[in-house]
Amino acid sequence: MRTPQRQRKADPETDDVKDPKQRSANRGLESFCPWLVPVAILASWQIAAQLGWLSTRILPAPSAVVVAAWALATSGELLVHLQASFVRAAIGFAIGGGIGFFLGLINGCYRLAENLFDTTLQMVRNVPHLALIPLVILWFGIGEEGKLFLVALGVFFPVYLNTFHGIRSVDAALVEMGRSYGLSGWSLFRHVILPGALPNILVGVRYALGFMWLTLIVAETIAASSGIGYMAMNAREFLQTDIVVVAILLYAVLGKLADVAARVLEHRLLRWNTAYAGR
Amino acid sequence: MGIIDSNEVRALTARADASTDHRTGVRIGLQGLSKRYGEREVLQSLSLDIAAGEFVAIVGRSGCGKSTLLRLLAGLETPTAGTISLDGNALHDTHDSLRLMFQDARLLPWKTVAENVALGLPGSVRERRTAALTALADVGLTDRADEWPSRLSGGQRQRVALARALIHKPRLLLLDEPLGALDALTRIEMHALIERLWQAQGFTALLVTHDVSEAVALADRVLLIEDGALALDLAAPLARPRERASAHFTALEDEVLRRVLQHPPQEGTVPPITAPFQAWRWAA
Repeated sequence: MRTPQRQRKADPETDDVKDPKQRSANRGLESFCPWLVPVAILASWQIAAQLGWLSTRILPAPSAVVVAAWALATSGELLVHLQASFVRAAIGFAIGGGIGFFLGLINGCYRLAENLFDTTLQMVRNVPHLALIPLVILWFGIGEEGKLFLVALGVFFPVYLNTFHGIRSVDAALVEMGRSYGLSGWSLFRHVILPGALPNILVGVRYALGFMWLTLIVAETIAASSGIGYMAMNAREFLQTDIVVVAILLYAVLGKLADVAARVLEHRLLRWNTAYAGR
Repeated sequence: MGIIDSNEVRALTARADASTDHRTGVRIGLQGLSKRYGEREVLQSLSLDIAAGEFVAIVGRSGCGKSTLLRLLAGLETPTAGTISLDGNALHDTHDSLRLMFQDARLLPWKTVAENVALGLPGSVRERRTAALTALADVGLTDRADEWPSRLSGGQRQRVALARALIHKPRLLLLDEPLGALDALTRIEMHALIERLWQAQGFTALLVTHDVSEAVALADRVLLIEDGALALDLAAPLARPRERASAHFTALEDEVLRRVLQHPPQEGTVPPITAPFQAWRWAA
């Protein structure tokens, strides 16, 4: 028996009621309530747009957004842009995350490396990477490399900092115990240090995913020829606000998916931690 | 909760006695051992000989240097002066046949109980698991083999730590106040468990404790360390299993406690001892 069964939290207000019909009615009402406000907003938005109170130049009707999304999906255009954005994000994340993880490990494990590199990295960190965009365009032009560089830079620092901190904050008592039981070097790292640093590393990954999308959105507005941001820029030129809203929603969905992926990873790798179990 | 009862302990002994793997303990020799932390001299030229297979308890007030002595033996610290020899050989970093049990269980939270017990064990996964289950059987926790340590109680965690220490069949077991954080009943059961396993496996055991009663209950010899020097070396030739209520037991305990409390703590003097102090149990 590794983890307890997932249980819905007991809530005295709904569950203490004796009558089972009343109880299930209470629970139904409770799960319905959070949706009341969004549905109301959506409904009033639709009505306002249809009655002409809301100009399509400002915000399109929800129905128009759905229609536009459907049109894009069926024409295959959506998939092309989605793929382009996703590939950029993935490669940038792999590069930036990989380098950040590696440097975090080295600096965390070896004092000499920390003394040599950490201060420099902290100084570079203080430069907001999005402010480097004009330089990036000068260096890399308007091709893919510039965007990948920006995404990688955005991803690098959260991963580096949290990996470094994670390694440093492994319980010294456990390291001592490991040493006294004959673990050293690689086995000590594998069994004690890395798993101990993992919660922090995954926090870094979560943050990095957020930065990844943020950077991607901005990077795709600078002279891209594909991707969701390009799609949105293009639509803006032609005042197709419904497509712009579709792009925004797509970013939101993708961001949510990335977060879910991070959660799944956390749940799998950190099963042993009571703080993460059963979430 | 898995409290082991006396029948269970007897059954464990029977199984342990049947094992044919008898290894002798290690002979320890300390010559002029000193340890200084900056200005403070924690151990002053300590010389001591411990026979193979002996169970020695070291008592003393907090800060007297008993834990430091254990850590020096375990190789976690280096002495400022003096030598340590195990079976006549000098001590290297972490001597392979030596295991240390800490005050807290120090189990790796990301490994299951069985994986924790098999820590540092060579061999295939299957072999290690079999060995781990055998060791867990010795401490009565096989049914918890695949659980995370966070789900165990303090006493159970220390039992897992004991299994982890003994799975390597050490010839010297160092115990650094391992039972201090446990409740009184669990402590008594752990005494019985440690004693049975020591009798079955025959390692040399060095127990550091501030509980004089625990020292007399377990050890062949009680040492008192006071201000970094050996102040008392008392033999406890009581029959095992120890009868806590016997006159001899109480007399020994009395003697050690008197000696510990006579010497005033660094802050000031204690008032003269008046009876009854059978009620007192801690010398720290």
